[in-house]
Amino acid sequence: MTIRSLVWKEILQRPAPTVAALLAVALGVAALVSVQSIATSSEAQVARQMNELGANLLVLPKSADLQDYYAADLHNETLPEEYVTTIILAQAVGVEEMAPKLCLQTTIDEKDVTLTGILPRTEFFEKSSWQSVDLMFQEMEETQLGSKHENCTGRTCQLTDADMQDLKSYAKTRVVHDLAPFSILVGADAARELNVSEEDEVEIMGESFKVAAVLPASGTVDDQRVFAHLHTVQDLSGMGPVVNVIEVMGCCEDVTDGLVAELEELLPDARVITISQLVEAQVSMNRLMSRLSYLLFAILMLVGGASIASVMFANVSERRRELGTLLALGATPALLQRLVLMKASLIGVVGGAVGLLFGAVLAFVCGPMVVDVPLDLSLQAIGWGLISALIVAMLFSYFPARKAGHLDPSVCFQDV
Amino acid sequence: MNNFIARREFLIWTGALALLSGAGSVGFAAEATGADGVEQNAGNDQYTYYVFYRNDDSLTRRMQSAVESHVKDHAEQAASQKVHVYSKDDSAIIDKFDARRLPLPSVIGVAPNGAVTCIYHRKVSAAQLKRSILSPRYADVVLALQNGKIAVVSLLPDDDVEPSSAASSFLKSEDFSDRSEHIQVSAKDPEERDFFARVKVSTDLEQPKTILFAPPGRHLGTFDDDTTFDVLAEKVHSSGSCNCEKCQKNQGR
Repeated sequence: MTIRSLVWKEILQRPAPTVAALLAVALGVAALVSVQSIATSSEAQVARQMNELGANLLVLPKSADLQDYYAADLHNETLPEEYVTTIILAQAVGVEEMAPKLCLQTTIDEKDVTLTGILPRTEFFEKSSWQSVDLMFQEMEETQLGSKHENCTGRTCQLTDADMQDLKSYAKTRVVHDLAPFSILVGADAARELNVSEEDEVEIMGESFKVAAVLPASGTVDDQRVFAHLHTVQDLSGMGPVVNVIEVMGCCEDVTDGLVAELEELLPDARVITISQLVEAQVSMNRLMSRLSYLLFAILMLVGGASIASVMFANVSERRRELGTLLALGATPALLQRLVLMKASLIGVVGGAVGLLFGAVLAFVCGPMVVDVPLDLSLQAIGWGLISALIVAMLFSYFPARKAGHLDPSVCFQDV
Repeated sequence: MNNFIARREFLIWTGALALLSGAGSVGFAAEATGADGVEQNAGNDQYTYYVFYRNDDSLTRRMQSAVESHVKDHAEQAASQKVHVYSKDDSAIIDKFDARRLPLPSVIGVAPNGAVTCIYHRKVSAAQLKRSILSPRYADVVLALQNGKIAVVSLLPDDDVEPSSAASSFLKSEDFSDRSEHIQVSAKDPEERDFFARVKVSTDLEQPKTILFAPPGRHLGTFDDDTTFDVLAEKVHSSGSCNCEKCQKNQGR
């Protein structure tokens, strides 16, 4: 009979305490793997947002609460649309694009949808051009009105004809050049849900709209939305010329701080926040989650370790006669220690593997509810979890193993 | 005979109706509002200043007073109209300028050719309003820019002088012909002295000069007569104000 078969038979004969110890370890690993995977995916999402929206600002009503950049318009507070014109007329340095939005919850074919009003570029261009005389005057006098951010070529180049007609680029740029009053853009998920395609007619709130484009998937909440001209949505909502949020796209990140100050001065009744402020909140939340997961892991590992130690001590005490017999037959104390440590390591390894599986399932099920992105398992957490489970099991079995090694066969047989 | 009387009666009645309708149209014109006002003032070669307001508060009154004072100083050239943004009578002009979505009060100046020559909100100075009155050709430049065109301005020593060859080539070129508009301004035209002053070119010029403006009001440069087409084209290409094939390629499109 080998050591391995001895260990295996021992576990099979007394499965309950082994499973209890194993579960404690598994829970710790599961907590670490799931929370760390969610935190890592969330960080990746934040990094992507920073990359795409780094120079963007949000102008919000003072009382509006904000958790997610892409859902910044999903609240009931409003701003007057004249704020958009105020920003245009200020010709603030670094403002490249603007995207005011108004959201309206409605139904299409008895399915709930978020109808979002967006304002096409043409509206801004027209109002901006009303300042031609002043802009020309300022250019001739070499003052700052309408100037570009120094040494910055900006994000958007001059628009080509194709750009102007491209409605699908909205999924990426969040700006559309022109949009007819009764045309709609449908997000990828919403199109699937509503079973609509381009050129289809759709009835919304008693009005007939034509599907101008089905947008490609963007991985954001925009995929579930339907977009129409802001002024049409305002008319349908009966709320008048208001918006929920104004997204201001800056030319580059260097300009952001100055722009925030300028917009705050221009619109004292609104709240101006940068994507980095929003990201900071998300990053600190991720860090908190990450630290908490390590704390939880440590606590559960201590509990698991204590449980393993208790199981192994009880095991050594209960098997004194068998261990004494082995010693009497010539087994060395080192062999008995190896027996105990092998059982403990088996609990650690299997507990870790069960925890890894449980954590992965938990992350894939709960993850999308926390961060709306595809999840990747954290390899670091998996490595830490498995190694820690093994080390904790071995460490906490050291004293039971030592006790087994120090058993005296004559004393063991006295109990018989 | 009966036919003649009948015809005469018909003519009399028709004439009377025509007179009545004429009187009606005179009365309507006297109370012309909104878009009709623009056309009427444009017909009189006048600038129209609309003061859009929501509340008749101190800001509105101050703006109205500034505009009235300006109109008084330029009585031959300008007229003003105060428009409440929820007035049904003025809905045409309110919709035209999307006035309900403007920060209020706002003043918008419209040239006789239809170009918007100023927009100010909350406050306006006499100097700003004065700046909004343009020479006829300057107003044409502004209108071209507001139509999204590159304005190619040829400053000529006299009416019978040809524009520079570079400007002519520019206007005929494949890249710019449908994206630009030509405005010729003669140094001998007394109405255009203000234009020359604004673009900082002396009216004593001996050779034509070319100025390029890009929307919404970018001054791309003032060029002498010996400037080549390539220089003008390069200036436009490098300014980001063009979307020709070459620029698209440079921008990696």
